[in-house]
Order: sequence, then C-alpha cells, then structure tokens
Amino acid sequence: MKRASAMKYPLFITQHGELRRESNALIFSGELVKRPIPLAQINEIHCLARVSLTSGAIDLLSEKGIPVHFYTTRGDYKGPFINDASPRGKLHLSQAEHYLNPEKRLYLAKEIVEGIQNTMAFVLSRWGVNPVKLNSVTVDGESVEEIMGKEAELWSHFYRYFGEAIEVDDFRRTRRPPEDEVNALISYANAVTYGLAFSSSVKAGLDPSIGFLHAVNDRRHSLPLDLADIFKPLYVFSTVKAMLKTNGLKSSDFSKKGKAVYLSREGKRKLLSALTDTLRRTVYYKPWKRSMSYRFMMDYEARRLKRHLLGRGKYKAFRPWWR
Amino acid sequence: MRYYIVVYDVNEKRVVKVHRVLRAYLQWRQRSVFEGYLSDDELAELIRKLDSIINESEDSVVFYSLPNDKIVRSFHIGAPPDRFENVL
Repeated sequence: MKRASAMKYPLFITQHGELRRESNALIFSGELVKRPIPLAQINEIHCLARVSLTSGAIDLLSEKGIPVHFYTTRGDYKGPFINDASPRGKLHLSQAEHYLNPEKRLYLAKEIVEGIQNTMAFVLSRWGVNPVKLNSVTVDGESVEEIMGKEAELWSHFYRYFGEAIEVDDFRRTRRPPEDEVNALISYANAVTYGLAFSSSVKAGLDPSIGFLHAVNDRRHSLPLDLADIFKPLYVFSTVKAMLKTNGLKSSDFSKKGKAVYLSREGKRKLLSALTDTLRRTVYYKPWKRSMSYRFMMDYEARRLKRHLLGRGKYKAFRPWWR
Repeated sequence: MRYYIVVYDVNEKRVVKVHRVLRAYLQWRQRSVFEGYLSDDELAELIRKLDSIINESEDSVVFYSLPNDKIVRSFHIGAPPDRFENVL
C-alpha cells in the first residue's frame, strides 16, 4: 500500500469538460480552462460537473491509484471510479460478521456516535461555546436504533449551538432541498464529505456498502455515511462558519429555484477552496512525531476500523487531541 | 514526502520535453520553475525520466529540497506567477 500523503490536494472540477491523456500527462480541458494536472500533487478527483474520462486518462489514474468521484451538478453523489482489484475477502467477511453480530455492531455504532459527539464538542468549544447540553448526552443504549436516537439528539443540539455561533436566529437545518444560503453550503459540503469518506473506506480496503451505525440499504453506501458523520463538524461546519465570518459570499454565489437555494458555480468554487484549506490544515500528532492533516484523520479512522475488524486492535472513537 | 523547487536550464531543443515531464508531477510556477511535494518513489521516477531526456554535458536541472512548503517565503515583482489551483 502506498504511503499516506498528507500534503496532497483533492482536485475539484466544477466545470464541464474532459480528462484525457496527452503526452503521458493528465490534461483537463474544460469550458473555461485547459490545464495539465500534476498527478503527484493530488490524491483524489471530485467531478462536480459533467466530466468525461478517456480510456487513456483511466489508465493513468488507475496506475497512480487515484479515485475519481462523480456528482450531479447539484451535488448529489453519483458514484466512484476506483481501481480496486486486490482481493479482500477476509476483511469483507469480518466486516459482515461485525454487522450481523448484534453485540459487535452495537459496540461500533456506539463508538461512532461518540466520535461524532467528540468532534461536535471540540468544534463548538473552539467557537467559544460551552456545549453543556451536548456533553450531557450519554451515548448508550440496548440497540442500534436507540444509539441512532442519541445521534439525532446530538445533531439537534449541535444545530442550535451552530445557529447561535453564526448569529442566525432559530437556525433550522433543511435539506432536499436546502431552503437558505447556509443550508445550501452545508448540503453541498456534506455531499463532498461523503465522497471523501468513500475514498477513505476504499483506501483502507473496506467494503463501503456495509456500515455499522447506518443500516445497510440499497440506495446509499452506509460506511461512508458513518465515517462522514464523525468528521462533518470538523470538515463541513468549521468551513461554513469560517466562510460566513469572512463574509466573502455574495448573492450571486447562490441561485434560487422556488423554495430551494443552490450554489452557483462561483459559490461552489468558494466553498471548495475553503474546504481545501480546512482539509489541508495540519496538527502535530505526538505518537508519530509528525503532523497529520485533517484530511488524513479520516483515512486513519478507516484504517483503525479495519484493524478492529481484523482483531488487531480495539476501535476507539476519534477524539480531537489538540486545541 | 518533501517539498521540491525544481529549476532547469536546458538546451532549447529539449525545453519542451523537460517541461512535459515535469508538469505531470509538479505545479508549474513559471517558465522554468516547478514546485510541489514528492515522495521518494516519485522523485526517483521523475529523475529517471529526466535523465533519459537531458544531455549531461549541456543541460542541468536543480532540485531544491525542503521539509515542507510552510518555510518558503516568497514575493514577486512584475506579473504574479501561477498559483496551483485545485478547484477548477
């Protein structure tokens, strides 16, 4: 397996175009720009517009092990292209076993929700909020449904605190469709975070269709949903809050369709470059005597989950260790 | 993983070739300058590819190796150099 690359960028493409191979380099030619993509500088590609790949481009990307994710222009996740041919039968079986065994699944579901609570509390305290109500929730229960109830409770507290932090009176989370600008930002960033989590799952060799907190279903992969939730406070809400604070947003960054509010291309660009700044932030991790990027924390979480599934260690929920 | 600033001075005949190899790995900064993070493997690969192009008696490619990009302070006069864009 390739060494972790903490310093690399995700590439976000927000214009229609084509990725192709040209004199052995990957070239993006879109409506607005034509540019060579330095493959050593990126670790994944998110196509948020209609982007086609030629077979030459697919060759190059699979050789380098770079996953490509496709979204609709509104930001709904469509699917990935990932070159993943290595056999992982053993890991997938133990993943299924941990899902089917109620006790084992309950343990993981609980840890995941605790991870969500940890990041929420961390992000809020950074904003100068003392999340008393959030911390008073004890993540415990007899069944996964009960644990999911706790998760819902945590989110409702979190949204209230978030509303206070961004100084919006009675902030309300709306989705499908998002009904205001803040919700449009959150929804879009959430979708991209799901794509990031998909990458992390597959990079760790896990089967994305089997999650532990979220039940297996036929529409969405549930493991990325699990992983994304742990990091949403850190990735999505820190980014959105920072964007609102700097106030670089204009009304032209959004488009309204009836009740729904979506991001325009410029809005997407702003959000994605702010998200990149968040993902590339690094903090010192003492056990390794080096820095770890925000992006890599999710990869590491997936790897720790894998270790747990293979019985090589006990999974403990993610907890921000810095201030 | 270290940060490299690569500058080259090669015979006109080979400038395009060298540029093409480098742009597949690093961010293009300006005419004969590239920058970016490379792992040891990637560096070795890049050096091997460059080696097969350049003529050792006339051409030279210099690699400045840094622990990361945060320690680089730069400023410019004249037209601003290209910045790496990861949002297209």
